[in-house]
Amino acid sequence: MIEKIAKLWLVGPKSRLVPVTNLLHELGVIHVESSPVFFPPPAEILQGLAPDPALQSQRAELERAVEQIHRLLLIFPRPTSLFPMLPEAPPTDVGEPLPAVAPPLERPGPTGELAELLQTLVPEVEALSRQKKDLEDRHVLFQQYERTLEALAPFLEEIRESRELVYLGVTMERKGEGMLALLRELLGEVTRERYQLFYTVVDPETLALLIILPKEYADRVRGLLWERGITELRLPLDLAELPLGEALRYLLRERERLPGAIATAQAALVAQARRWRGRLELLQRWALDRLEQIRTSERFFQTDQTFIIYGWVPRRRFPGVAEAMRAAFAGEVMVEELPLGMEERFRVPVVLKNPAWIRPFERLTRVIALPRYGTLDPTPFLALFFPLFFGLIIADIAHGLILLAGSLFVRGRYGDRPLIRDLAVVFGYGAVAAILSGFLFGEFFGAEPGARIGLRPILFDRLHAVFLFMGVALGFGFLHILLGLGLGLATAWLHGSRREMAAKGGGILFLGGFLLFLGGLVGFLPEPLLLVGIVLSASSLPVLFLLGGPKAAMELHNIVNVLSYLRLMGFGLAAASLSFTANRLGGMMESVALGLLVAGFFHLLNLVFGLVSPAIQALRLHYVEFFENFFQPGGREYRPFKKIG
Amino acid sequence: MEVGLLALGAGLAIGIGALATAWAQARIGAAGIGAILEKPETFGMVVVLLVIPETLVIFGFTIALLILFLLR
Repeated sequence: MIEKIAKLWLVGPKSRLVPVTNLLHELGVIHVESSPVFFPPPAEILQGLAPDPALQSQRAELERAVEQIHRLLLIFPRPTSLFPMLPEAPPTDVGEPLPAVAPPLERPGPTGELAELLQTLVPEVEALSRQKKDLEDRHVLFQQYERTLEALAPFLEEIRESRELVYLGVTMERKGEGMLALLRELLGEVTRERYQLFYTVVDPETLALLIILPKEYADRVRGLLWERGITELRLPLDLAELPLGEALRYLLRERERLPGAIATAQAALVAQARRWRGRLELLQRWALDRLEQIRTSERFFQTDQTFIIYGWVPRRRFPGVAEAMRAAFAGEVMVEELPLGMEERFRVPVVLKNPAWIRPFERLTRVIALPRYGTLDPTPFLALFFPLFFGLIIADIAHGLILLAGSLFVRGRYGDRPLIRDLAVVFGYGAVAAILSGFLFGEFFGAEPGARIGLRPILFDRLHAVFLFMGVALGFGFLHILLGLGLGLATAWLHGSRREMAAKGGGILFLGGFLLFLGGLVGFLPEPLLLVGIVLSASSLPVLFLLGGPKAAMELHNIVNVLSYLRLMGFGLAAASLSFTANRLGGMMESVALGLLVAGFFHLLNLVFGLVSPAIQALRLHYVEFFENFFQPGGREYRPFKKIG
Repeated sequence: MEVGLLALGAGLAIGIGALATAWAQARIGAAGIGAILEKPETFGMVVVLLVIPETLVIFGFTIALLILFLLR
C-alpha cells in the first residue's frame, strides 16, 4: 500500500537555520521540496536561500574529493578469497573516528585531513597503478615475441655486434627442408657466397634460421625471403632499431624481470589498500553526508528575517518531527502540516509500505514505475498472483524443491545484496507454489515418476486434460481481470471520477456477463445463467457508452486480455511435455546410469526454462493485462534528507 | 488424408503465429536495447513491450490444440 504523506513547512529565524538543518539531517525523514508550487506564501515574495560562497567552494572541493576517493577505491585491489562461501577478509583499520556531520554547517570538519591525504595519496597510488599497468602491458607485448626468443636464443653466441653485418632471423616449415638447400643456393647467388646460415629445430613442424650477411645485400635477401613466403621474425617496435643480439638479450632479461616487477607493484598497491581503504571509505561516507547537507540547503527558501523549508514526510512520522523541533528550539521554529489539494497529488512523493513478506515484490512493481500518490499499490496483488501463476506453470514437486533449495542458498549467500536477496525471496514463494501445484497435478519430475512414488493428480492430469487446464487458465484470467477492474473502480471512486466509475463498472458487468454466458455455454454453469450472462453483457453497453464516454469502449478489450491467460495453460503444458519427454528419453537408454543422465539433462533444461519463462509470463500477465485496469504510474520517488554514512 | 490436413492446419496455426511473434519481437527487441542503452530506467517498459507479441503464438497454440482435439 501507499503510505499517507503529510505536506509541511518549517519556518524559523535565519539564525537557527544551521541547527535546524542538522536536526533534519539527523531525523532523516523529510523529503525537501525544491519547487514549492502549491505551498504558501506565494512564490513572488520567496527567494531561494542565498548561496554561501564558502559553502559553494566546500561543495566543489568535496565533490572532487568524493570522485578521487571513488577512483582510488576502484584502483585498490579487492581482497580475494579462494573460498567464496567463506566471509570476506575483515575490513582494514579505519583510523580515528570522524566527528559527526552535524552540527558543523559552518565548520569544515575533516575536509582539511581529506584534502591533505588525497593530495599525497592520489598521485602516489595513481603512479603505482600506472607503473603496474605499463609493466603488464609490456609483459603481454613481450609474450607475443616468445616464439622469436625461442627460435633465436640458441644462436645468441653467434651474434656479434657489427656495423657491416646484418642478422636475419626467420622461421620456415620443416617439411620444406628441401627449401633449405634451395635457400642456400639463392643466398649464395645473391651474396656471392658471403653469408652464413645456422638453423635449429623449434618444434616438429618448424625450423628457425639465422642468416648473417653483409649489410648491402640485406634488402635483396629480404625481398627474396618474402617472395618464398618465409617469415622474418619481428621484434617489438621500440627494439627494432637495436642490433639483433642486443634486442634479444634485452628481451630475455625482461622476460625474467617483468613478472617479479609486476608482483612488486601489485604488493605495493595491496599494501596501500590495506592501509587506506577503511579510512577512505569512512571519509567518503562523511563527505557524501556533508555534500547532502550542502545540496539540500540549496533547496531552502527565505524572506528577510526567516528561513522556510518545504517538504513531505510520512504522516506517522510527522508528530515525531514536530516534537523534535519543539524540544530543540522551544517554539522558535514553527512546524505545520498543510492541506493537500487534489491538483498537487501527482507531486507527492510515494512511499510503499507493505508487510515484510510482501516487500520483496515491490521490486517487481518498480520495474514498471512507482504508482502515483492517491492510487493503489499493486504490490500485494503481485505477491499473491505472481507465485500462483509461476507455480501453475511449473507445477512439479521435484522442480519446485530444487528451485526452493536454490533460492534459499542464494538468499543465504547474498543476503547482504538487497536486490539479489529480494529476487531470491520472490522465486522462493514461486517455488513453494510450484510444489503445492505439483501435489494438485501429481507431478514429481513429471507425471510418470510421480505415479511411481504414489502421487495421484488431485485436480487433473495436465498432459491429458488439456481442455480442463484451458478452463482453469481462463478462470484465473476472468478472476484476475475482474479484480483489476474492481480496483480500477475503487481508484475512480477515490478520485470522485464518475465517468471512470461508469467505465469500470460497465467493464465488470460486461466481463461478468460474458463469464456467465461462457460457463453456461460449455455446461460448467447451470444453463439459465447463459441467458443471465447475455442480459448482463448487453446491459453493460449503455452504461459503458452513455456514461463512460468514448474511451470506455476500451473496456471491451478485456475479453482479449482474458484470452491472454491461456498462456498459463500453454507454458504449463510445455513444461509437463518436457518432463514427459525427458523421462521417455531416459527410459529408452540401455543402462540405468545413462538413462538417469539423459533424463537429468532434460529435466535440468526444463528447470532453466522453468526459471525464466514462467517468471516472464507471470509478470507480463500483471504488467500488461492486470495493471491496465487500475495502475497509474508516474509516482515521485520519496528521497528523504538523511545520512548516508 | 483428413488427419494429415488437420495436422497441417494445426502446424500452420502455431507456425505462422510463432513466425509473427518472432518478427515482432526481433524489431521490438532491437529498438528496446537501444532505448535501454540510452535510458536504463526504460528496462521495465521494454520488457513489457517485448512480451506483448507472445500472445500471437499462444493463440496459435490454442487454435492448434482445438484443431487437434475437437475437429479430429
